[in-house]
Amino acid sequence: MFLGVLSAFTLVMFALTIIGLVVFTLQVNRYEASGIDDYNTYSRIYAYIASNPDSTVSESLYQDLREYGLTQDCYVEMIGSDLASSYTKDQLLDIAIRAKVSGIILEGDDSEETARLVEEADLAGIPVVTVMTDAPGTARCSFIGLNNYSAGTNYGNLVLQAASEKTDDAIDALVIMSSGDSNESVLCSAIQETLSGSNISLDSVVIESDSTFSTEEKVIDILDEYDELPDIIVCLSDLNTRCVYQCVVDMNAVGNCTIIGYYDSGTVLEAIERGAIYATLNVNSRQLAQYCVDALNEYIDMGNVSEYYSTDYILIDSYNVADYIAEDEQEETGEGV
Amino acid sequence: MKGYKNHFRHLKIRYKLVAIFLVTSMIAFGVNLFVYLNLNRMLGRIDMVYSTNISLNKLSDDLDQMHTGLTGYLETKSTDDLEQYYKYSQEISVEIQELNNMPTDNVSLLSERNIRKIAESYLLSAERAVRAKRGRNIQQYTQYYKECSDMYDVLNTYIYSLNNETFRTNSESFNTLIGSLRYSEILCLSIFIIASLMNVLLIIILTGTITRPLTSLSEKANEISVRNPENVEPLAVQTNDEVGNVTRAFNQMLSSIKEYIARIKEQMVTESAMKEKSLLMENHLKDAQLKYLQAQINPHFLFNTLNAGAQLAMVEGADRTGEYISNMADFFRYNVKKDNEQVKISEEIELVDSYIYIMNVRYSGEIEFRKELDESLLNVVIPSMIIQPIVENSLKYGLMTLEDRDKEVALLLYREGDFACIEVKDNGVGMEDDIITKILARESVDTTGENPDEKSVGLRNVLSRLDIFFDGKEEVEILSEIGEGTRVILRIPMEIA
Repeated sequence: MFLGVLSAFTLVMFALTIIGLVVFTLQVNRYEASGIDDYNTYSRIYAYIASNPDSTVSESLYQDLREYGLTQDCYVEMIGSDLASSYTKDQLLDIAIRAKVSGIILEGDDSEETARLVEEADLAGIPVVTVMTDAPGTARCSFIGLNNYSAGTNYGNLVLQAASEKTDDAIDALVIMSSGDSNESVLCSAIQETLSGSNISLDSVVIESDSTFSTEEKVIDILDEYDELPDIIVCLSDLNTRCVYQCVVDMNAVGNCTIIGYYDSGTVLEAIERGAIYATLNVNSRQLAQYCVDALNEYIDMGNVSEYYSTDYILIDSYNVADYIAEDEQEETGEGV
Repeated sequence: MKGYKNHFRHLKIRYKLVAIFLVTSMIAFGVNLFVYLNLNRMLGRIDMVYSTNISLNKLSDDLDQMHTGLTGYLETKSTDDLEQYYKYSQEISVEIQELNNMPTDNVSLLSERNIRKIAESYLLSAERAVRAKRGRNIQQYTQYYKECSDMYDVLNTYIYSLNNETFRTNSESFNTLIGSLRYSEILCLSIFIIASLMNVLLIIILTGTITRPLTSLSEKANEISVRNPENVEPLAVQTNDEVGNVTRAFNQMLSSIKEYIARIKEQMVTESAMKEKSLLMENHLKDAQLKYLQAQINPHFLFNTLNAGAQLAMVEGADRTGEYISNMADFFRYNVKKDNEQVKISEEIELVDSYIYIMNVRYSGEIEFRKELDESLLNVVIPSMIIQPIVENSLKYGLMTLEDRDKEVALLLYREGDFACIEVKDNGVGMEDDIITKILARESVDTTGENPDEKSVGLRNVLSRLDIFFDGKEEVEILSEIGEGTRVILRIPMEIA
């Protein structure tokens, strides 16, 4: 009996020793495998160079570029984002060329330096596609742009719709641009064209942010110039939209001043839900991302590609804002997980 | 498993102890070695944690040296600077081969790839600058040097950023590894404790196979000392070692003790039976003698008086009377002298001779006595007073009433296999079968003779004493036909006689 118990106990001890050793080995293996060993490799790497890498539009576009790229066995890197120093767009373009990336997705401009670097990239065998803003007259292989005229018409129709809900006979509308570049010019022209023949008087202003926190100050300055706030304010950038919204809230003019914004940041969506912002137009960044990656792949694989791809804006108003808020929350939860 | 168990059980104690020591030591050694090797792997991993930072720092230093050498050479065309440039460009070429070259989603590896590619571009531009310097193309090497300087700045930024990133990651890994190392220490300690406990239990179990048989042996020895050894069962031999041998010897000893006790008991029973037999024999003899003396006159008295008579007859010249009396005296002397129970057949025959002589005198020589004797059998020992009573019976009941023919008695002594046969044969009236049966059954014979007791003393006593003396192994046969005579045959087993 005693011997039996002793034998059983010994067997238990033996089993515990073995289990202990196995657990120990697994633990050692786990820590040995931890760290830099968890990664995937891809056949191509594309560099994304934004005019303003910190803008929410660029960040959003980069996320979509990265996600879509992964599905195509490409990794899209926002080059320079992990560096301790800040570099200009041209410097980043130069770095991308030196880093021998497979392709470059560039928010273009019409500067000579950019044109020279695009030329250099082309000579180095690196295809460049421009996105949102073009670099005309350069060696870029394709431009993936926004249909700004269509967007301007949409903005105009929204202004007309908002004006019809107001009781005043004379409606003042203000368009606030952020750079006055060709995109915004086309937008503004389309808005004017749409509003022609109506009783709405349209004014436009450009707020250029020459320093980090200047936008908000300039918005306040402009709105202070008005004895009475415009009935409708159209903002053509995300930051302008948020600044104008905050300013209108501070002036206690919500309801009197209708804001039509740009982009689908969380603040803007919440404001639409509450009725403080009438509607917003958002870049279809997924479509943009898809066109960019596909254009580069096609150029590398086939040697040529269509020079121009056009994407539409998405209208978000009180009718469909709930869907976007839910989508936002879902994305946040997904990232959290 | 069972085979190993049996094999272990039959090992010698010395080998068993060595095996126990080896097994437990091997377990302890194995566990220690296993843990040591794994801990070593972990420590190796910890050592590797900052290796990336070290190699990046080395690359950064080499870049500094190379750029200094390049700048110096472009400025002064110094040989030392050129040597420095070549040395470090060579080292950088080797070092960047260790960096990742593949597009990847790991930020650090991606930075490594960028550093590698930019460094390759940097080395190319530097080489071009040096070549342009040799060609004294100022514009060109100034242009290349500018490119190099730009890339040098970018490379330093990349290395710095990657260093920060890897340092942050490595610090986390280091903390995790150190934490896991502490956890592993506790785990190892637990494993050692469990393994040690298992070893102790194993030693208890294995040494138990040595001590258990010894304990059983000791208990059995105690049992023998307090109980009758006959009731103690032998011990099962479980091992083939020294203890097994001792157990076997112990069982052998126990068996011998039991056998010895049984033999003593048997001997005691035999002795007791012998004593009883002897007493019974003596009893019968005494009884026979008593009966005889009661039936006859006192033999001592008769012997003495007959001797006196014989001497008187000799003095007076009556030789035949003297001889007769002398025979009478011999007859009675035999009775007196042979009170001990064993005699030779020859002595019994002498008694028969005396008796026949007496009877012939008494019955005027009517009895014709004949002897056929195998002399080799004369020394065979038989109980006393055996033949004479048979002869007497023949005379009394077979021949005395015979009138129409001679009275013949024959005494035959011959060998028949392992038996010495004594046969008394007469030509008398014979015996009836039922009487023969009764006689052979040692029952009293109801006779109508004048002295029934005498007859009873005669044959029954003779047969009973023969039974006792020879343990019933003698054979008695009585052959008789009415009117033809009787043959009484005694077959004495010679091995007992």
